[in-house]
Amino acid sequence: MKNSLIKRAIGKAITHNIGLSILLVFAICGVVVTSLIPPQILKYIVDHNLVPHKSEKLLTLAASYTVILLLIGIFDFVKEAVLTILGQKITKEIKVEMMEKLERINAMFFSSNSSGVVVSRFTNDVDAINSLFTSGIIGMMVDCLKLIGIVISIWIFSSRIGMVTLLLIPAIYGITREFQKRMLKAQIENRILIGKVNNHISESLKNILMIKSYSKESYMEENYKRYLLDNYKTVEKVNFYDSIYSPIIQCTRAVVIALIVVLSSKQLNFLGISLGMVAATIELISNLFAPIENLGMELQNIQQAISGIKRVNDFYNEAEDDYKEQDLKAEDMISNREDVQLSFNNISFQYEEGADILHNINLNLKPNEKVTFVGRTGVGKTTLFKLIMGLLKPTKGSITINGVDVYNIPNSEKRKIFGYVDQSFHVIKGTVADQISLQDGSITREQAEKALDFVGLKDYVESLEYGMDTIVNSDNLFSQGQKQLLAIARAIVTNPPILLLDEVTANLDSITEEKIVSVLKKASHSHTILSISHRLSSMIASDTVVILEHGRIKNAGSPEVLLESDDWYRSHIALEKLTWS
Amino acid sequence: MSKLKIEPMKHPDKIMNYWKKEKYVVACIVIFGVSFNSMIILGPIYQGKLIDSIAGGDNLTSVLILAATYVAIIGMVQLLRYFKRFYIRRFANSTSATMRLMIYNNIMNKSTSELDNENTGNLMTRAISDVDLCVEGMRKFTTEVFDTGVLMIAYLISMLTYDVRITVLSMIFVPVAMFIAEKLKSIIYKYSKDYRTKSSEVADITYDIIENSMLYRVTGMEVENKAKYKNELKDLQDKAIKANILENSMQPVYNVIAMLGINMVIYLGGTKVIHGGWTVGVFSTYVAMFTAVAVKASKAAKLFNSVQKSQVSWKRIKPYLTEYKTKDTSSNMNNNTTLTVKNLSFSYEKGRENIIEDISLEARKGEIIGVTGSIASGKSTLGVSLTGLYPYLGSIKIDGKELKDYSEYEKSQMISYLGHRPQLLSDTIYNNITLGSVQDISSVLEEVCFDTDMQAMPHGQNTLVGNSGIKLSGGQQARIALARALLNKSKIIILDDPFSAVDMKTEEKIIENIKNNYKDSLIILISHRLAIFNRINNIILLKNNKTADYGTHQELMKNSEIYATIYKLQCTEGGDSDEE
Repeated sequence: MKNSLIKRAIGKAITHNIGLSILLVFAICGVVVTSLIPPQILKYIVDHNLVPHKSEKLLTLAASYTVILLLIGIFDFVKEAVLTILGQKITKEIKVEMMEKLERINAMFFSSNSSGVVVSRFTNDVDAINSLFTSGIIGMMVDCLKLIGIVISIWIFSSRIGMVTLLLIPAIYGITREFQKRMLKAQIENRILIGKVNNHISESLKNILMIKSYSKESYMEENYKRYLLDNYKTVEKVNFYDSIYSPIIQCTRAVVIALIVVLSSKQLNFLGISLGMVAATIELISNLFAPIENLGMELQNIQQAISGIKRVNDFYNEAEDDYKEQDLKAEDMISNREDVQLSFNNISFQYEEGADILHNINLNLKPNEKVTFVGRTGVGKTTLFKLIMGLLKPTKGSITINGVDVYNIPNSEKRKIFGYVDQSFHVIKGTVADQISLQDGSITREQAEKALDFVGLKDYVESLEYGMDTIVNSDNLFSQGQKQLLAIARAIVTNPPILLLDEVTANLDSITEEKIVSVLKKASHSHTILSISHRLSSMIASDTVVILEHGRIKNAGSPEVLLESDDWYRSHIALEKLTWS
Repeated sequence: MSKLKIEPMKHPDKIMNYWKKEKYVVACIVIFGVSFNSMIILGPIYQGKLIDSIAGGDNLTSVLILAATYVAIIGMVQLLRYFKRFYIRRFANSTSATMRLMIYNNIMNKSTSELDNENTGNLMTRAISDVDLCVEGMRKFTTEVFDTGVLMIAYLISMLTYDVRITVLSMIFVPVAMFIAEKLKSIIYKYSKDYRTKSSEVADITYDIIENSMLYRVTGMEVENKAKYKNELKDLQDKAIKANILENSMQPVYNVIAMLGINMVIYLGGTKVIHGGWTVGVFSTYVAMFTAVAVKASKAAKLFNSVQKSQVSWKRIKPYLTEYKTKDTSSNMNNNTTLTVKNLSFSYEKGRENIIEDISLEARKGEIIGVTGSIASGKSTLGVSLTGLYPYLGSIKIDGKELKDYSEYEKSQMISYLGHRPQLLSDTIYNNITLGSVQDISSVLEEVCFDTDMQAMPHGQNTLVGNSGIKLSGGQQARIALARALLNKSKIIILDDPFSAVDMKTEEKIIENIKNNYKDSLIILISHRLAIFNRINNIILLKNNKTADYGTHQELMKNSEIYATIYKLQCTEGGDSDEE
């Protein structure tokens, strides 16, 4: 399960681009092999030309040295180019996979994670992962292969230096690893803080009117500064490791070179190698350090990417909704609109262990029944709606429509079954028509127009410059009430048999409310309507009123019956009428 | 370790000023950068000497001394290098923080109407990834001024001292590589711009999908959105490949071109050794230096590109880097509140149709003014216009002085405004109400009937409300926002439908509390429920034909047919039961 998202994305990208992948392997091998040749040529020149002072073949050797460099360049170019392409394809695959995950993720995820944070998973983290493929991982692989090649080359000169080199590698690896660990820790800290910094911006923009009207710009700025400062401190820590790593490696290299020279001095002659070999060994040792140092240079990218991978995988491992029965069709479930049986079968629900929001709710609705749920705020009415639409899974029990568990209904069918109107209207990117259709291709323009007409917004929309094609980019194009009407249009455009109205009239004045109610009434003979209201007087004429208290049904019945039997209900009705109406 | 402070700066729109601002850090970079890069030539020189000491068969002691000197020099050079690297990173770090702060300050001090036209996703990409890219470019530039500029000069001088002819001949190809890189700049610039634009577009789409995820889920739109997103990603991918391929892959090519001169170095240098002009050590020193210069030159080409790329980002953030603004917090106000509105008209944008027209009213402290009207009649707009946050036509006078003549700060001190959305921050309850001022909030919490809710919260006033207050119920959120509006007992308190998520019993209590405790304030209560309107002083009834009726409840009942109708409707609402 771990890493599966990244692995899958890479796997997909590779199998879809098999030619490119083979080319990449070829280029990498080319780079590794060719880059071993120049020191050999150099050694040859020193031993055969420079030391014995002979100039024969010197020009040819110089030319072949240049040609080999040319070859290295070409292989390198191909490697980089292919990596860029593959890296971008992998990035795309990761994002696609993440979007698919988002589709399956449990609805509770969204109440505990802000949009800003989730967006940064999709952008910052994935970008960090991308740098892993363009420079990090493959770079590291190439470097490792180079290391092996260099050790073999040195071994051929002298098995003793070869042995020294072999001992050196684990030592350097140890240092690198230690740095890696510390850096990763600081990086992860840093990522969290960056998330805070970024979230503060989106939060400030969301609440800008409030901030301005209270003149709290400087307060918000102070908070922002605090986040920035925390972030600054962790970056400073990362910088320390980042800056010191490479100098340490360079010093080690100097010590090793000095050692080799001393060992091959005439007096000791411990290694028994020629001057050309010493020169070549120095170059090879330098080359040996170059990959390791690169590894350190890329450490930052790699670290960032690793924390990115961790977070993306955490996201990928978030709880998912259970499997939906994809072949379940709304038409099959509800063959006759007149015959919709909605049942709550002893459901309980809790967000957290031990704190039931809803407790043993039992309810059977008759077809086309109008039910209103009332109760203090926070008794779980909205949660109940989410359960009805199958967004959340009851901790216990089930909700069924004509015997089918709503939780099993695929999301694509829900719009044909439920029309949901929220407490507030969510503007999406796009035109007025898009607000209603949500860019659903199966909804025709006529349907959208009809829905607009239905809620009485047709004239207003026609008065706009581009009518239904006006782009909604300002919050002020529609008034609060008009937005609520749009929300209703959005819900009814598919003519679903069940309407869920969550405080739908809270923001409407009585005349419009009257109109909505009468329109809903007109449609009501073919709709099951469930509404939430905390104002008893504002609800749409209902057959049944369900009073919720402490997550339980306290009482349920027709308004007339409740007026007789429920004190709370009676007193509230009286209060509303006598004092407040 | 560092003087930890993030402070605003002057003239943030000139990129040079970011270096000027960090005088101490930049001085360190210069000192360590110059000393490191000029000392680095000692490395290859001593390496050559070591080789010569073997070739010459020197005695062990001198070899040992030479080796020790070599190690000491490298140690010294690398220490300087560490400081250089560290200070350059610190420079980048504080520059990034300053830029973010300045952009934030700019955004926060934009007028409300300007912000209405901005796009959240765009602003976020700008502030986040563009600052990063830009600073990255600045860091690389600073690094390379020394690591390329100073270093190449140091190497060139020492190479020229070794042999002028070989140096001149072998260096011919280095400028060629740099020239080609320079030529490719404009292409990279164009592709990179396309890519950034697309990237911010995709970020917008991502934001939309995530922000409205629940909506898309219940409407089954996720599948269709995903397909669209996929297409957008494909486009983004192609643009990214175009932008990056030239930048990432060309470096080996530049490197090879710059290295072509090695042919000369080996042939001519080798010949010189054969004829006794150079030692093998000098030869190897020279080869090492040449290679270092060529590699640097090819990287310099890449540097041009990344500087170029960061210029794209710089251009995008530059409009947001304006002078640091602070609100003028001086104010003079008296205690006698009067509000006179004459012929007020209002529209959100110039040239757009007026939403309210020709409103007149008068009110003073201690009064509660009700504002009501049908849907889209402009109730909320009237509330917003009285905050003075947007330009208006006509006259709004507070204490005889025109509202637009008050400073923004004075307005905010005189007027408390509570809109539809609670606008809570992901902070504690206490901070959400006080917004940074140190005050006791227990009484105001009682006034909004939050004291009982509080008892169920183990952390009390320090309870975190979650993002947008998600951890609280709708009614709790509304009451926290109300407490915030009430806290300072402003002269004018505008409440736009504060009770829509609050149940009636609570609403009744809160209204009573406000009536009793805010006698020094003028309260404007916007609502479509006329329930309590018979007990308040004056009522404005906004009508759809943009006229308004103004008067007491009794007057309106008599004179306004609509008002009377609505009032009666609401009174008889709630079941035609027998109690009336």
